[in-house]
Amino acid sequence: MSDARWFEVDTAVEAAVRHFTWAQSFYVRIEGTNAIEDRHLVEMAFMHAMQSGHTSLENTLLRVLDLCGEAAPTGATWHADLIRRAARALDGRPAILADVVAEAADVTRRFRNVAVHAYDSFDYTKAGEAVRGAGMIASLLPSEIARFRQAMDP
Amino acid sequence: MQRIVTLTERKTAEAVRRQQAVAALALVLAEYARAHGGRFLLFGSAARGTMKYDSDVDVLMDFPEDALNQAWKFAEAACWERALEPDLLPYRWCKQPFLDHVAADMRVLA
Repeated sequence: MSDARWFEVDTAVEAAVRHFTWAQSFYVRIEGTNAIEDRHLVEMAFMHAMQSGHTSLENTLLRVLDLCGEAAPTGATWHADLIRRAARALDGRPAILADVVAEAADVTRRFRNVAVHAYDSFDYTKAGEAVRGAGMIASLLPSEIARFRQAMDP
Repeated sequence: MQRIVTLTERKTAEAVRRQQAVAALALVLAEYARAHGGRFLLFGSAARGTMKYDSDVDVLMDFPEDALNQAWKFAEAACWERALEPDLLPYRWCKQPFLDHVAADMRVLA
């Protein structure tokens, strides 16, 4: 019988996909939204969706590590370390994320760091690469986790 | 009794350590920038030499689009290796009012 904790993993995956999908949608709308209040709404929605998407991705990875009985990374660099760890096969488990998805995750991680620290200082329309990363995660994360689950808990 | 190191002394020592670490960081960032056709721009307390015990390192990254990702990763790792907290932002993402605001402090590393 499959481990019941996959339910929470799947919920986190769905949240990551939902937030990153909305982030792409909001990003497209920023450029054509000129009224000050509407523009602010769309920019804030975009920024929040990007941050929530990455947080949900981290939640996914942390739950997967927990399922494997693997201690999560700690310390000041744990956000980056988590992605690096997920991209590596380790102690009898395959990599959780393919390199291309891990690279996209690192891009959204760095975007979140910018958004948290410099939310009022940058032009959201320039963040195209982070949005492409979000799109890649939204489209590939479910199959990545399904592949990992099949290997670990067939 | 063992001499007590007060919190004020600890904070002062950490501020000094961070400022010294930034001096070393600036050298490697400048070297990287020269080798990769871009520049890093230090600003804020790290550029002014007024870091506190909890100050992070504010850096703008001005690199060609195809070199930005690697420059970002390099700068982030270079900060972490020196136990500094990076606050990195691509130059071309910045709004002009922000650039105007930090211009007085800005120190170009290239």
